[in-house]
Amino acid sequence: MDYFRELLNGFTTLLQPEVFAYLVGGYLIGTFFGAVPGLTSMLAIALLLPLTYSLDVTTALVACASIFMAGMCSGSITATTINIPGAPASMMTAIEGYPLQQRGEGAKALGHAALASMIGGALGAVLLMVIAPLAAEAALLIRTPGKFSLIAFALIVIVISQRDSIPKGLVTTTLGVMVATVGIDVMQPVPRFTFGTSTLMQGIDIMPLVIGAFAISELLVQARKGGRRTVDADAVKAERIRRRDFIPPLSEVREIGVYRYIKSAVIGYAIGVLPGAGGSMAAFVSYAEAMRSSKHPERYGKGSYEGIAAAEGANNSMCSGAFVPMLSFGIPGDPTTAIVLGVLVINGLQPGPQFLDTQLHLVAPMFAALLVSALVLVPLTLYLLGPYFVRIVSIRRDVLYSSIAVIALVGSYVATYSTFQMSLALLFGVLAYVLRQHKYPIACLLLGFVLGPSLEEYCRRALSINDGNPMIFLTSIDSLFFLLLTGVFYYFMVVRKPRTPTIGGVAS
Amino acid sequence: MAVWRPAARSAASAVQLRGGAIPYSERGGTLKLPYSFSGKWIVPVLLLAVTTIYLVNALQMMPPIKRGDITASFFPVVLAVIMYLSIGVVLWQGRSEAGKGAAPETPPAAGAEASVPALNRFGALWVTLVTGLYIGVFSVIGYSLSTFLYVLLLTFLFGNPRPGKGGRAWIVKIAAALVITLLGYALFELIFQVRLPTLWT
Repeated sequence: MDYFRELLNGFTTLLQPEVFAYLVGGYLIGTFFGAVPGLTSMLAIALLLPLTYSLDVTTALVACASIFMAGMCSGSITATTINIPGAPASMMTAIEGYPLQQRGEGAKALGHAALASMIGGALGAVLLMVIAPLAAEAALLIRTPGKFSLIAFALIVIVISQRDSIPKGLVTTTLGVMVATVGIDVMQPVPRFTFGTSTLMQGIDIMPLVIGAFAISELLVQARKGGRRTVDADAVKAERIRRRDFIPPLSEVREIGVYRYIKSAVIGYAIGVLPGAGGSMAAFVSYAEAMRSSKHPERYGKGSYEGIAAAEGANNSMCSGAFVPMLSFGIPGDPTTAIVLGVLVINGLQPGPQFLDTQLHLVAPMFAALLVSALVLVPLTLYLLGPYFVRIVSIRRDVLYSSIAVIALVGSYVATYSTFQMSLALLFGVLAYVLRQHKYPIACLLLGFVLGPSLEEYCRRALSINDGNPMIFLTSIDSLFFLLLTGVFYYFMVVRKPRTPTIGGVAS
Repeated sequence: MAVWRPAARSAASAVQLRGGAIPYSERGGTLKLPYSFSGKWIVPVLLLAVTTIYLVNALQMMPPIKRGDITASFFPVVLAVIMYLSIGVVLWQGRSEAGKGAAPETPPAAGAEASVPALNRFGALWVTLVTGLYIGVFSVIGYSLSTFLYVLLLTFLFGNPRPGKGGRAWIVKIAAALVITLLGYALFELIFQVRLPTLWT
């Protein structure tokens, strides 16, 4: 009962003026970053990270949750109206939404996307509230060798999720772990890779890595592109959207069916729990499943409301699922939750099995923010801002990217009040840019960096309690379970690749 | 910094170039991407160099196992080995793709590159240089002046490099730089109470 009382307190915390302002402000920022092609909600949260030094942790988490939820559904706005997905997770929505826009039903398509996001996001948030404490209970059963195998499982699944570039995923993940070894050793007071400098003695902070990998590298990518505005103004003027057209007819909602909405939410949530899988994968798998089981598969690729509902419901539900491993095991499953973990670490908090027991009062408002964002802010924002939003995201590139550069660089100065952090951010930015240009997944770099220290610590602890004998990983039941699970995932994701319809196939 | 020339080439010519049999002039004045500085080998080669420095440093630190106990250098040595193996696989895959005549993995489409203005083609390099300069002078000349100049330069790099005749475009850029600098000041110094460097301290 205490758990549910604390959750209710989380909702009342949202009513505090400052927290409420960050909830709404975060949602609007997330909507903007999600809708502008090239920007993502992850970048918005990365830019928020330095500000969390001065923010209350609850307020920062609420802002992160609303940005995350907003970024997932706002990509559908430009995906539908001008066929450019604002976020990667809206790729499937563009396939179905744009044909509808061309038939003059774009507003209705956006309405369906918002409704599915609302249902998916809300169900995901409820599932998070119910399942997170159960996952934390289960996490208590895992001992040191099992913790090592669990983190190894997470890292391996993150690598093999990069289906077409597994070796490159392994390279960047290992590089991330290598960067994390700089500084004092996790077990002994021995400095490592400091090259005689005292500045590296404390290790490399997560902030310059996040700012560099996600903000600076994006600036460098955008610097190679031409154009005055983020979105073509001519395309924006092509269609006018009326507010009343956003409400989807009940007959179409019935045709999609309650079962489809729930199924998409459950698929999205389950994919969110998996390490390495993000909104794009959630939307794609749910969309593919909807197409496979649809009564009208022939409508897919030509403007199917069911396809939009499946994709959007899943990617919003994924947001909540991604928090389960982060809060219960301290293992972020995707870059966004890795940055949220950074917010907690900056404030001296370390998620784990007992985190919800001891710190629920800090995260309960975040749970509430996920639910309120989905139930209230998704439909409200579309209804109020929808007709103008495409114009809002058509912003001057010079103003937008100059502003991002200032926030990113000055933000990285905040941690230690030294330009060393800024230099590190630039260094990681250039590194991430070169990696991106050669199609190396940089999300793996961050996840390797975040999970690396725990992987090493549990590996060495497990070996030291067993006199250096690595058989402990096979004789410990929990460790063996995760090693076998790794084998199962490897078999199904690499050896026997899932045969799902391709985006190109659907589009054609 | 990577430089991609506009000429588009077939995969077959890409394979031929590996042998170096085709004169430079016949290649349309371009370097073969997979084997040039900008090609797909650059990242593995750089990472090999970094990993070697990392491994040497780890081994110099202490032996990985000392009197049966795992030391601080054990994990870095394991990581270096994993890195070598994964880079080896990336290089092997790259050679296999080149052997099969797969299209070279170049960052931007070569044809698209031709239409990009020179300032944008080197945009990433310019932004890196300007940002490095900004970081260098940030503490020396203070937030306000350094940020104003930085943003002004960025407005040229991210917008139209030639603002056109007349003073209006210049005024817009200067005004944008001023507003962004002031908003940044308000956000960090006033709202989040961050003490930013000034010219006189």
